Amino acid sequence: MEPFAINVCELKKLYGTQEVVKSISFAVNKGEVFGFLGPNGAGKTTSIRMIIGEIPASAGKIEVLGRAVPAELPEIKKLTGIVPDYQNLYDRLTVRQNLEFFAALNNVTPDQIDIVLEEVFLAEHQGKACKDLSRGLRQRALIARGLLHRPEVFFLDEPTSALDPHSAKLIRELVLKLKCAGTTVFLTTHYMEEADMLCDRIAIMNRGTIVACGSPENLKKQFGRRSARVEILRDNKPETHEFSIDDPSQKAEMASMLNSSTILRIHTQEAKLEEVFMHVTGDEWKPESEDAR
Amino acid sequence: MNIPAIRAIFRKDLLDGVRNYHVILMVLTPIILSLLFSNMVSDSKSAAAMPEIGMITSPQQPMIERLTSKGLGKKITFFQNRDQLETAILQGDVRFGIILPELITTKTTFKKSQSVVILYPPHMPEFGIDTLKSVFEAEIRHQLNLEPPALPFELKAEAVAGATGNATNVSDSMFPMLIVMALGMVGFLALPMAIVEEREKGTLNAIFLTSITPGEFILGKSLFSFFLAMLTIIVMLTINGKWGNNYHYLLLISVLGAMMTIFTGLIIANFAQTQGSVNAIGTTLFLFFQMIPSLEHTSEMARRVAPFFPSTYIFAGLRKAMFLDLTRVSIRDDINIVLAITMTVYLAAWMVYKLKKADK
Repeated sequence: MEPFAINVCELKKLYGTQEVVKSISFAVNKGEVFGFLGPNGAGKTTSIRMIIGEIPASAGKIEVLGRAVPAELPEIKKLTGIVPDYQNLYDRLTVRQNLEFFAALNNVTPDQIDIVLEEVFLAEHQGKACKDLSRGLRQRALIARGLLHRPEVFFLDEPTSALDPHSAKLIRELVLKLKCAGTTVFLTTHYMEEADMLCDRIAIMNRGTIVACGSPENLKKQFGRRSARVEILRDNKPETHEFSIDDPSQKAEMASMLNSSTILRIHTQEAKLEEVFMHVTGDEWKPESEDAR
Repeated sequence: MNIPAIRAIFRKDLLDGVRNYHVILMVLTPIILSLLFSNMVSDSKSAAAMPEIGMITSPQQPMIERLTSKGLGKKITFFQNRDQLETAILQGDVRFGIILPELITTKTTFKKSQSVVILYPPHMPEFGIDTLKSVFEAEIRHQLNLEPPALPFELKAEAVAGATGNATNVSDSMFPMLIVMALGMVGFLALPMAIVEEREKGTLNAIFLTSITPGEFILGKSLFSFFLAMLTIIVMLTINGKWGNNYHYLLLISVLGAMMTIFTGLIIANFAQTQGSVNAIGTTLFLFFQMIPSLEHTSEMARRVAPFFPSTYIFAGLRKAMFLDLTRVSIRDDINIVLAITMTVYLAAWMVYKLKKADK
């Protein structure tokens, strides 16, 4: 039995002389939600395209559910589902007609269409032409299409991008449902809160390399900064100061201030994944209080 | 009105246009076609407008001198008997024939009971026959110095016995052209447009993430286009009642023509990255495919280039199958040439896709 859902080893991609993916390695465990983050142009989509066999790798090894890419691609295609970062539905067809087409391509029985339509809450919209659907409904239709053949590994490329909060919440709930059902989810997103909420583990990519990988908690511990915002009264005037709790000198400074002043309010904040992201991708987070001080 | 903005857009489009081969093709195509039909390159316009005539008459007939004079410049081929002349008309060696009694040399030598016969191919439209009659009548009047109203002899226009046996009307004569048009529209435009649209919208990626192979995809697309082309042709023929006696040849040529244009469309889809490119390339090919055989007889230049266009043979085959008596004219050569070209285009399409696959 294969140990990993996805196993990538020293994967490279060159366009001409430009190396857009520089020997990355990572593994995704079965049944986990794996976040793949990075700024635009980091090489995420190129990596995904190599993993799903859409483009060939320049070097390295890829395995999906123990099957080698691209040698065993036909088999892999049956076990994976993909929601791309663009909405590639047949606009003139209805939702159901779209699903019927892909059900036929995937050798899926028509009754599966009704099941996935219910799962993504699209049953009442199935007769509408895709061009008449909102962005959120279209995104759900794409997810339904990807789930038709019950994939074991499901790739979601920025699934909540530009969606309203209700639609985004629904899609996040769907991801959690998939996780509960044992599906491995490979998720890319620009929303750090979303990644923090959904992902068991996260890899952050920057300029073609993976710069951090681990659980959100570990990454936050490793790269994040907990902070405290302190409001005090000094000379009858309120003042606000912000301190990094993880920085010993700032911690001491805060303690001194708390001892010598009238405290109006203290607000502590845990490290955020966004700070981790900014830190590891080179644009280090700077607390507002640095300027204030 | 923001004139500077409009000017800036115009300038940008101009600069972009001279670097855009779509625009260049769109501009050059009608120019090249206009050159083909203008006769600038070779013969005079009047000579081209005067099609070759087959005649049964004496070489001493004074009318001949007038017809072949510098002003009219018609090419005349003499025939011994009517059967030979009719066969030449059916084969397209001469455009029409004239049987001119020798005794019509002066207005005093004819007899009322005699007649001049104009023979025309069965696919010639009515307006063409009327024009032919009136032009020839005018020539005779001029030759014999005859005044209106009535001619002192009978001027008859007769269709060469074809499949229908009768002269056809305008819409009949346009039918082969319309079938060629349907083939070109589907093969050169609709099919590559559909493939490129899939590529542009990204639905092609979604399709190839399923277990379907590129070959299956191309086959599916081609079959639909084939169905579309054949449906169009069958509906056209059926609702107009134009099947005739040689419907099996009609269908065979249509099938081969559809396959040829579809294979060409697949090659277009391989090279064109956008629907705009398909429009430019497909329309260019379509115009040549459509216009060259339809207007082959309008200029010497067009007549010379026509044999290099596959549509010429499709058009000729369709015309023969629809209008001519196939016991008197051969359709096999046209079918063989269309078959050979179809196979060549298939091989070209196959190689293009093989090379693309190898390139990946």
